[in-house]
Amino acid sequence: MTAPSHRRPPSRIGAPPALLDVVGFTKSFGDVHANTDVDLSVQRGEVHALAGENGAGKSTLLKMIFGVYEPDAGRMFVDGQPVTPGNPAHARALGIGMVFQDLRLVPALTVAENVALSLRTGFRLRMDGLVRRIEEASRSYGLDVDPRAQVRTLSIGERQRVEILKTLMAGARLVILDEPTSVLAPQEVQSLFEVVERLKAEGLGVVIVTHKLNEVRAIADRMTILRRGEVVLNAVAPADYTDGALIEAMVGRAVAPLPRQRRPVDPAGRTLLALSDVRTDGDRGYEALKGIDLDVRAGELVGIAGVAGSGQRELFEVVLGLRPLTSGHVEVRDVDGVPARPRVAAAIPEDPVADSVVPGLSVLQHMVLDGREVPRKGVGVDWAEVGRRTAEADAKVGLDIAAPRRTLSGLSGGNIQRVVLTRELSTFSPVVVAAYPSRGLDIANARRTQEVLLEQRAAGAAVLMVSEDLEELISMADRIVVMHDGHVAGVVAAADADRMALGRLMLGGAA
Amino acid sequence: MIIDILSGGVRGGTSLLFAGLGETISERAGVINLGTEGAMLVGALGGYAVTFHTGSPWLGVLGGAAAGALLALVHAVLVVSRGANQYASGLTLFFLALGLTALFGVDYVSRQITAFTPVKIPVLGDIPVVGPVLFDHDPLVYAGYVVVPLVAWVMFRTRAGLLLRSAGERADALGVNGYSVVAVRYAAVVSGGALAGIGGAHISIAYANSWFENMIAGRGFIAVSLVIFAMWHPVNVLLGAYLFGAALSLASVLQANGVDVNQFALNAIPFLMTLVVLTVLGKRTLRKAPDELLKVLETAKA
Repeated sequence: MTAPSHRRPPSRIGAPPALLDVVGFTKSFGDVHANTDVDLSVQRGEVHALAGENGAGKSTLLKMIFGVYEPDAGRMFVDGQPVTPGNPAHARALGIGMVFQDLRLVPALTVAENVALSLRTGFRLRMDGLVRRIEEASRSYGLDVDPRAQVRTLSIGERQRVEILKTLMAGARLVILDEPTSVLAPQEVQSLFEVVERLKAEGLGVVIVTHKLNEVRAIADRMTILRRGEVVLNAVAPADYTDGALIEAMVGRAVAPLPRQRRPVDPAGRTLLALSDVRTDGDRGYEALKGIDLDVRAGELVGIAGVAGSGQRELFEVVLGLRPLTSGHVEVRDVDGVPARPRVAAAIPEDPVADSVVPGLSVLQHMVLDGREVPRKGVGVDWAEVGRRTAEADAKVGLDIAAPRRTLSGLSGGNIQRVVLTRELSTFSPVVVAAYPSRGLDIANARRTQEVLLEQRAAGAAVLMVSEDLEELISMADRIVVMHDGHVAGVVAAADADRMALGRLMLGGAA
Repeated sequence: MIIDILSGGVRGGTSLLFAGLGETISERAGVINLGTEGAMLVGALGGYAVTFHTGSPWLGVLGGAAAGALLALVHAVLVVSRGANQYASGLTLFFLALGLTALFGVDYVSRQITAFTPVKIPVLGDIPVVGPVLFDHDPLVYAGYVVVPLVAWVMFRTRAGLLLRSAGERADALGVNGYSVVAVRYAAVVSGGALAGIGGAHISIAYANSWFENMIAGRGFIAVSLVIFAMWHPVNVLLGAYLFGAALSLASVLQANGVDVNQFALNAIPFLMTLVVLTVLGKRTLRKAPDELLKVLETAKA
């Protein structure tokens, strides 16, 4: 079944020209059709949501609008005038501003220096005057920013405000926000939306990329959905559609919600993962974990929440023994309670491409790289048996991994993630540690990954999961541990977790 | 004798100062150049040769700068354009410079030049202690006093410095703002090489007033580690350069004062100091490291 088709919006002949009109943008990379005949129209004073799965072509579309890529075909109009932005500088001159998802600020510089980098002022920087201009602009747009602060010391939410301010000071009339909420605490999302409302009231156009439907409903006037490089829903009012219909438009088929009923944690269950007063240093020598106490019982899923860089990565590494402790203990036990021999834990690292993949080896070879017993044939590996087990694992986990002969260097990030997930989660492990397990996956595979982790929990594993998606944590975890600045800021039972309260803990306040 | 050691530190540290500033500029843009030793060598020979042929040490300084810049340009082509390993390229260029300067330097061994001579600054030079330590030196030493604030000013107060620091901290940010990371890194590496070349020229036309094979004797490598202890700040480079300069000139000062010590043991002092500082500071030196440089440094960590 297909979603209702609205390929072209109604004619606006006689109406004032749109702020931005993209007509028929098409772009291919080799055999991959990233965008096929894509339209996007944004009015002044409009918030337009752009949604779609990873790989649906959102980034390609935005990069063409911003002049990073050149479209193979299609036209673009700003205020009704045909334009061809050949590079970001030209796009900026046309009044198009882009706030990238991985913010492009220089962390070591101050806010004002970062603004100076984007504004073409003279050879001498004359920071005092610039600081005053930033203060004025930040007041007039309600973007609270200290121009003299070093960006490294700012929270993600504050950095985002700097990016938006920078864009506005460069004269943007159309502000494109690429997944701005994915890394924010709920409070920060709220204040971001206040800023967006303000921009809208000033008559600016805003394009916001998000796949969170509650956000679309909260902020967007119209919505465009891409799937496999094509427009599925064109500039529709979100209120006219149910959540199910919108998800189906993105994914191409219905996705069942995660079952909420599950067996409660046995309070007498064994503790399989125990951290007591764990301290460790980060890469730059500063203390990254400042005394962490944490237990995970058999059959329990504990979620770790926190804004990026609160110590989640270091926590993951100390649990797996990848980072030395400066003090404290980490204990990983087998189901029978004895301290673990190696390979009791299944690990899904934050960056599997860097941490659990040998790029030149094949999918099949990766399947025996997990430290478990390898099927032998004489002195070598019984590859036929490994192949059989791989097929079995793939069928069981259901993430549809790439062909066994493919080398990992030729796979996309999402496909690599699926190989790692399949290897780690196809057999039972007493302790499962997963950092951002569904990152980079499409909605259907992300859902399947969540189900597999819950299956491990149901089978009696102690699961520790780091995620930046509070909805994911609330729907999956038994307890949510909120980290802030290397400490445990609070522990909340997921059943009665309040997003705003979690957000306050993430930002270092009291619940 | 204390005054002699301090004065020797300033004089002997000037080559380290220029080379260290050059390496600071290069590393601030995200490129480590182990070829600094090589740039100093070609700078020393280039400076000496130009001074010999023209009779002007000032033209010699330009010759040294040009020779250092040229060698650094090769480094820039290899690592910025070709993406070669920065350590491999730097070390190779050092050995290349060592061989080339030995080859072409033969003609200049034992030749006389009109070298720089100490110029005592009126009034300031007569202040007790401070005068002889700071204000009774050759002109390149004074140039060092000017270059440090100049480099700091450019680095922290101008657009050029902003681009430099951005290239070393977050190269993506430059591209997004319409600047070329490649151009910024080329400019940084080449000007860093020119400063190292001037540092080398100071050795041959102001300090030793002669040319001989391998006359830099590791100063370039000291300059590279100096930049790390100096946490990539020009003013710290100045202090560190004079400290290491004092260690380098300790042997000659003690001998001149009739103290009977083993010269070879004294020559090891700067390198032992480097080891001690690296051991004590360890990972802490990386706190101020430019992020892009950190990526390069991390690849060399065990």
